[in-house]
Amino acid sequence: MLSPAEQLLQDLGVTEPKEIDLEAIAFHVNARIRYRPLDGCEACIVGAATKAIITVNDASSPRRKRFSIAHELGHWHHHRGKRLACRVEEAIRPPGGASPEQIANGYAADLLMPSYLFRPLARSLGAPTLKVVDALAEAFKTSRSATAIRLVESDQAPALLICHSRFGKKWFVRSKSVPSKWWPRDDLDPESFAFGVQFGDYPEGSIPRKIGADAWFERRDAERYEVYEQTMRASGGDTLTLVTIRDPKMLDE
Amino acid sequence: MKKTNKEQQALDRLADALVDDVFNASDEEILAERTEMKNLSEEDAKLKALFEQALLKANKSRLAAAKAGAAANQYPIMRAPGPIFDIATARERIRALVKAVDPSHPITLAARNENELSDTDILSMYEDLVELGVVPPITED
Repeated sequence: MLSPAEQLLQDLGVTEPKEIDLEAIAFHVNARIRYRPLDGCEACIVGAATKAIITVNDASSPRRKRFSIAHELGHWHHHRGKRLACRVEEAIRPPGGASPEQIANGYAADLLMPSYLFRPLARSLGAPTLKVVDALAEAFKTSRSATAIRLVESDQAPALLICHSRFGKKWFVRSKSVPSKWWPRDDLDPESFAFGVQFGDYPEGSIPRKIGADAWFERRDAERYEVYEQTMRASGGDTLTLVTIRDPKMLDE
Repeated sequence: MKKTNKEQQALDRLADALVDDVFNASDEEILAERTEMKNLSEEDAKLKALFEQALLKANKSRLAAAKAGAAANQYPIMRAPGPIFDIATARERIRALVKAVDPSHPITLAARNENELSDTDILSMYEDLVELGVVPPITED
């Protein structure tokens, strides 16, 4: 079943990522976009009845602007006629809940990376790696972090995406095919390559590297398995690690 | 709707006749029937594909119209909002707007709290609200 954002794209005959023209989409739903300097936020929307103006910080990067516009269009779809005090925070995903911000973020993800285009392209690119993330991010003009989340959630292969700051795990997402018993550790294991990226000057992983699963999961039986990890730097000094599972025994419930 | 005995008997007779037809038909006749049905479903598929192509074309023309509309209605590049002489009044009006409950004039607003916004941000928002006819412009007088 299509989400509201995906339905909107279908109504506009969008069949390729490059056709996701946010200015045109905004115009179609009676919203105009204004770019100007903003100090306190990335974007905001004001609307009266059926007309809206989305103001976007013109100092932001092009991909950030796209996300902000899609996020505000999410508010326009879901929260029309409401007054919300909010902020755009890409990729910050505390577990559970459905705040207006999370709803708008979900709409943005569907609008920028609709499943009906994202899944076939992701499938054609093979097993999830940072190279695949970069190729998808380039195709959909999205940030690496938002694209990596989408890739893991699309469940092309069993994987987790885990975000760490210097102070520990911030959040993670997991493919549906990964059993919930595989809960990532709160801290970064010094044995992991991610540790070197987070705390040292290691470069981002160019290829997924094999490591004992106990470096990533606290379960007692984790030491019997191996997983693959690949880490990239994210904004604010955070790191994002793609942990992929290739051992089918780990997928038994 | 519950069927009467007569209607049920008629349906039963029709079902029997159809079964008899199948039993009495030769293998060649059944094969011919199947080919005819297959042709029908091929026709259906062709029609469906044509319909989908026409729909896609119509939808893409909607996107083209939206692109043209967006291009024609672009705002000029602005470095900063225009002058408003009384920032306190702008802030006060935005605060009142956030608090007001008026279902007959639905206002959509998704932004940081007024007290978290800089003067530049407030002026920008105020200009948008003026353009939408929600608040009056603030003049020098």
